Amino acid sequence: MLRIDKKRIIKYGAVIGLLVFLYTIGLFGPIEGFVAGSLDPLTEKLYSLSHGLRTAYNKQANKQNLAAEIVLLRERMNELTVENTRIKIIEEENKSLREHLGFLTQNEYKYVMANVISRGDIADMSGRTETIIIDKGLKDGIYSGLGVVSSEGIIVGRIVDAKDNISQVYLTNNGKCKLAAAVLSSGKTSGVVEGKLGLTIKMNFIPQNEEIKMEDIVITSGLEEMIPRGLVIGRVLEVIKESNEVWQTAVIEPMADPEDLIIVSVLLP
Amino acid sequence: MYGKITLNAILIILLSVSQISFVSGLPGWFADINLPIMVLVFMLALSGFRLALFWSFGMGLLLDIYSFLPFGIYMAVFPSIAILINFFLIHFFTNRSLYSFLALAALALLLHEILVYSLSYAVYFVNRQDLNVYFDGKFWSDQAGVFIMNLGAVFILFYLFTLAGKNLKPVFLIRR
Repeated sequence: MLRIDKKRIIKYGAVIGLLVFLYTIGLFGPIEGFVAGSLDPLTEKLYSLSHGLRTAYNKQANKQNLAAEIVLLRERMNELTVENTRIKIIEEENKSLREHLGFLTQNEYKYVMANVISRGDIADMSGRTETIIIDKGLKDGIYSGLGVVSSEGIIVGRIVDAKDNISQVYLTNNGKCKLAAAVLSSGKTSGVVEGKLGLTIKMNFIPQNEEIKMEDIVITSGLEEMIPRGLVIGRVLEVIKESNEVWQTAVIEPMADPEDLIIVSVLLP
Repeated sequence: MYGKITLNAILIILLSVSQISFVSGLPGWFADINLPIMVLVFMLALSGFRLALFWSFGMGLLLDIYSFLPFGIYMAVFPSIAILINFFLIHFFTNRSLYSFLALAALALLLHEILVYSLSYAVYFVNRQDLNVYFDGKFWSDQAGVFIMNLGAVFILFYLFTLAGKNLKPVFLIRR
């Protein structure tokens, strides 16, 4: 019996080795793409089902009526904040007298819509609220570094890795997701935002002489090539300013709920 | 024979896709459930090593397709877990009591975490890349949650199986 088992184990080992070799030389890609593509409808439906369960569970936990009202108010407030931000940016750009030949100011982005099919890296249980997998990949023009926005136009993360048919997104509350950001106030303070413990976002490297206050809106600064300027990230919750430090830090509340993502858009350059 | 293989392949696909899409989207600690590990432990005890090895290979392949860890990690990890847990099942946890299942499930989870992280680190090290996993308080408390949730699920599954058949022994082994 042991001899038979050893033979079987060796056979499986050989098959695994062959598959890894085929993957390394790039021949496994079509098979991987075919499998992921075929299972797309099933993964979408299963994720929608579990999302429904999660929403129901959260509603119960948060006292349904109050939560629903807060959700409605927040959605309306987010829409108005995004609209207001867009208007302010258009005003600034009109003021600055752009005379580049053929250059037009516009906020129309090229994008690819995608369904969320999984949460978290499968190995990293602790990263469940900080990473999602979407059903679009290299074949759809997606690659690492692109920004990902919610249906309201709020930036929720960036692409960190892409296969043919699926991509991995680090959400803004992920410690490994860093975005160049600016505070939408008269000073246009710039810094870098990164996730903190999967719950909130911190904006670091804010000069000490810059004035920022609670409820200020934080947007993408446009300093990164693949992330356009003006995408809303969140609002300032707390400012941490120590006189003996070179920089000050702000705690940001993300405007998009990372638990509530089913469909996202990937912004193409 | 081919019908049996096809049926098992379909079940493997359903289980793996459920883990990837359904379980990951569940609220709270329910998303910590590791279905492949639990199924592997029960399959080793109830259906035998051969079938469990086939399932471990199939589940590993599908998880590798959807994972962004180096390809081949899960195909290496799950069969290794099947082999090691089978060894413990034959030599140490020979009865099919609840304690045995809980111990085997805990061992399987521990091996899963150790092997996945070790192999990932090794591949990233060779490729001169960083795998940024912080072994801080949050990591360990999340791991504790994973163990508690999965052992709780094994507990419930065990009693469901005892209702369905007589293959498993009750909680307490009575000496006569």
